[in-house]
Amino acid sequence: MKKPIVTLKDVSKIFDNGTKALDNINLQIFKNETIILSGVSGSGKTTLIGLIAGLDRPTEGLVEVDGVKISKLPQIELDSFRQKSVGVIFQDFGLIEYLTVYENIIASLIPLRLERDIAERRVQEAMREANISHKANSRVYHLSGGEKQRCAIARAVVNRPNIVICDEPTANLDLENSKQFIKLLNGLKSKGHTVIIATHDPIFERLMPNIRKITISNGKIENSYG
Amino acid sequence: MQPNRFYFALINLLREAKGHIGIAILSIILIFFISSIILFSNALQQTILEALEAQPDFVVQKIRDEVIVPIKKRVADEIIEIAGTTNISLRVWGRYTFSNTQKSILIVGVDFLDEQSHDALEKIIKSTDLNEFLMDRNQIIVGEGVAKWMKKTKRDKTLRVYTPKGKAVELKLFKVIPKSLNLFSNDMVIMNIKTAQKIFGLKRSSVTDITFDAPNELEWDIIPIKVSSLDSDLRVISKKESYKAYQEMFDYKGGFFLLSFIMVAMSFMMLLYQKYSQVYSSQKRSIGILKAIGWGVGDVLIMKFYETLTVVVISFIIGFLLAWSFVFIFDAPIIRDIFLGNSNFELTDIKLYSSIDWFNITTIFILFALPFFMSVLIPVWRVATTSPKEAMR
Amino acid sequence: MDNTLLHNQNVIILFFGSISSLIVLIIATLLAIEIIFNWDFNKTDKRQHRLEKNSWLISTIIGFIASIKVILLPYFVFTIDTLSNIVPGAMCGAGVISYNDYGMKLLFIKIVELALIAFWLLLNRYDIKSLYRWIKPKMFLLILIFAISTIQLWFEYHFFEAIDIHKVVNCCSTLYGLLEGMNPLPWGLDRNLLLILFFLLYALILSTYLAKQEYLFTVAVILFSIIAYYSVLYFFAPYIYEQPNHNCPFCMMQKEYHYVGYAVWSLYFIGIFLGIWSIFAQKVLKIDSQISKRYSVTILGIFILLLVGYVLLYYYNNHTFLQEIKSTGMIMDM
Ligand SMILES: Nc1ncnc2c1ncn2[C@@H]1O[C@H](COP(=O)(O)OP(=O)(O)OP(=O)(O)O)[C@@H](O)[C@H]1O
Ligand SMILES: [Mg+2]
Repeated sequence: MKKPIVTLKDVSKIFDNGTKALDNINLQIFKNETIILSGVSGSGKTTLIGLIAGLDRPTEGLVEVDGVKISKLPQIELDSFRQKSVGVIFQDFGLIEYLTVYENIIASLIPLRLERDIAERRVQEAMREANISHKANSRVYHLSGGEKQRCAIARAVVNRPNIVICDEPTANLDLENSKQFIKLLNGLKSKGHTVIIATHDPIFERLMPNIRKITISNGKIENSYG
Repeated sequence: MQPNRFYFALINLLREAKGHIGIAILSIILIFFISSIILFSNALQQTILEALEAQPDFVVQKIRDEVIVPIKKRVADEIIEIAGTTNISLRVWGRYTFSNTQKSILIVGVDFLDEQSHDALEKIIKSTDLNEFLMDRNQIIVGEGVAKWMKKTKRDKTLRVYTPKGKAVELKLFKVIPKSLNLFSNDMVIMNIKTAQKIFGLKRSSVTDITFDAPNELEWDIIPIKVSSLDSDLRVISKKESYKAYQEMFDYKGGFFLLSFIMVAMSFMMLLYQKYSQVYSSQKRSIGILKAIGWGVGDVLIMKFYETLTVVVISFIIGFLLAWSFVFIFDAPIIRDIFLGNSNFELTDIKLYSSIDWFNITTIFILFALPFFMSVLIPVWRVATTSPKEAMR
Repeated sequence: MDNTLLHNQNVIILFFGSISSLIVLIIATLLAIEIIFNWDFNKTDKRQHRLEKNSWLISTIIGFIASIKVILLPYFVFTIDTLSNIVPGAMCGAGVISYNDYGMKLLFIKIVELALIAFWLLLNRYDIKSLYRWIKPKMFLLILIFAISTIQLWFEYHFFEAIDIHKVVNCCSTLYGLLEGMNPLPWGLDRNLLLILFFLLYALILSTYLAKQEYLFTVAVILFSIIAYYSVLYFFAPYIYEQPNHNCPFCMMQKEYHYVGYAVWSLYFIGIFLGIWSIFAQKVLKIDSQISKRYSVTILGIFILLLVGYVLLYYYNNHTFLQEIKSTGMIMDM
């Protein structure tokens, strides 16, 4: 199990306006591991996730994900890295509101240029997994928070990434939906995905015992259990 | 339809319908405008050139001090001697202006006993009882424009003209030239050559021009030289020359119009550039999301290309079809006046040849699509290179 | 009213296209120069990031220019052809284009320009796949394209500006006719030998494609491009025109011949282009180019079928083949 799938070495991120969001982060996440990234609001969780997901690049340091040193990658490679390796569930879900659930999900398969029925099958499978099939043809802005969430999950797993990253997944959910979500996560874990959850919701620690938790505050890693 | 980039392009279009409809309407107006003018002027040109086809290959006139003077009939006999010439015939051809109204008619005196070279006239005469027409030398066949004007005057069946010596000649309407031949015949009055000679005060032995054909095109350059060598005062006008003169005139007008249109296109481009920059910057987030889930720059570029192409093609088709019906079904009311309104008798009834000319369509398409695509290049590129970070905002 | 054609509608459109594409090409070239000087793929700083973005703008621009030029090249040929109606003596585009020294060169430059642009786009595709390994050569090629476009515009201006529509020009039968005692074919070939070579060379292309013989394929394609040109002119064109001594490359683009010339020449140029591209891809880019070779071989095959079709059609209608009329100094046709 001790094979790192995510490695961060001396990673810092300073934004254009001078905000130092991450400060010298060193971190390893292993294959098929589920970890929690906790920290108060503004501590730098989303920023860190952005670096791991290849949405942004660090100011300094090395980010290696799924065997690719993405901090060194040119933009174009980063695009294809995102196609293959990571699925992200954004803090506000990051769905395109005016598209249907189905369209949102299949959108992430388009750059892969799959055959029609393969793509179709994958979408159906992902929707089933995330329990959103019944809303396939509803527009996202008609959905409830929980449904949006499940749509985002389906989209994150549809291109079968090795790593699934969730940013504050339960922030907009009630207890019942949160429990369901955790059930889904456990399902992903059993399918071999590496799952990274950024949250400050204690429910994860309660329902997912023996889980590694990394706390980050002011852009620095405070402790790392597990 | 399973979603592909074109599908997403369509969704985006519908989504931003308001922004695009404004652009589409403006485009349609522009296309309508250029297409109507190009279609009309080309159809008119086509019609004129086709009418020219029926004219004799050469017209010989005598010029002295830059004015046309009568030419002796016997010159025709000399022309017959030149190898390669056929269908030689005599014509009295000239404008007659009514001093009271300043209207003028084109008097064409034809020697009806002569072999006819004038196809158009032949057609009219064929459809008429020639004998009955020939019975009275003062009978005339007139163009549509003249006929209309005659109707408005008190004596609607006759036309009174005066010879240079002040003698009145009463011309009697015999027939109106059919509409299909209207273009050149509009203000024409065809009559017996002798009557025409009388009206212009010509001697029996003189006419204004001699026309002839030369069937072998390769000799077209030599024959005029040979004719001119008969008498240095003779001027030979070839059909090709008038063909070219018309073509040049249309080229000149068309070119002038195009250049002014290109000016308009420039401001259209500025507008498009601004509008699309605005529309696309409002799409930053959704494009950012697409980028975040793996779309590359190329994917977005292609999607935006489809979007633009759809707007261009739809507006083009609508604008062009509108223009086509405007010109060929509704007979281009305003443009017709602009192009033809100031002629002597209004050429309002010309039947234009309606043809679908792919060359024309391509011309209009290039004229419209090129500036359109050119002005969206940079906005499209900008939105395609949106950072996936936008998804996290 | 002056005599030049600069106010002709279609000529204005041609200039409009050339000038517009040159304007955007200037932008692309400036960006390309910056890339040549500053590109460093190992860096991931802001500047490099911006250059990467700019390289996308460059490809967008070239794609745009390519689509304009693809439309404008046949448009140019068609314009030349319509102008033959007003330029005295010209029966088809051949007369107009030979009006002055610029014409043929202009057409040649236009073809080269389009080929280079297509080449650039193919290279670009491959370059992006291979992570910008060819970015600098690509940018130099872009500068070359810019230079050629500029020259093209200059030639275009001089060509049209100089045409005086009152001066008589030669018609195609004088330009391409078989004059007495003169053999227009290269290397002293006669028609039959030419035809045999034509088919043999295609067979060679086909077999070297199947056998993956790179060098022979190269030689075959280049030789074929020359032989095919003459074969069309001096063997197949007469069948298209159904006139034994009509050898004009332009007339077949007229309506009377159903514009078949556009198909003939496009197939010819695209086939040869893809052949040359596949050799380049194989030798220089070191990628397997069997696919583009296959396209090349197929397109040239269609090209041949089309031409042979005309011969067979003639035979079917007349139960005989055309006999070359040994010219007697007189130009027979038209
Ligand atoms: N694009 C940006 N430009 C400038 N500063 C930024 C940017 N994005 C984030 N920051 C700053 O970086 C710090 C870390 O932000 P981040 O969004 O990573 O926190 P977080 O832990 O996700 O917080 P939350 O729990 O509220 O989502 C904050 O101070 C934020 O203001
Ligand atoms: Mg956050």
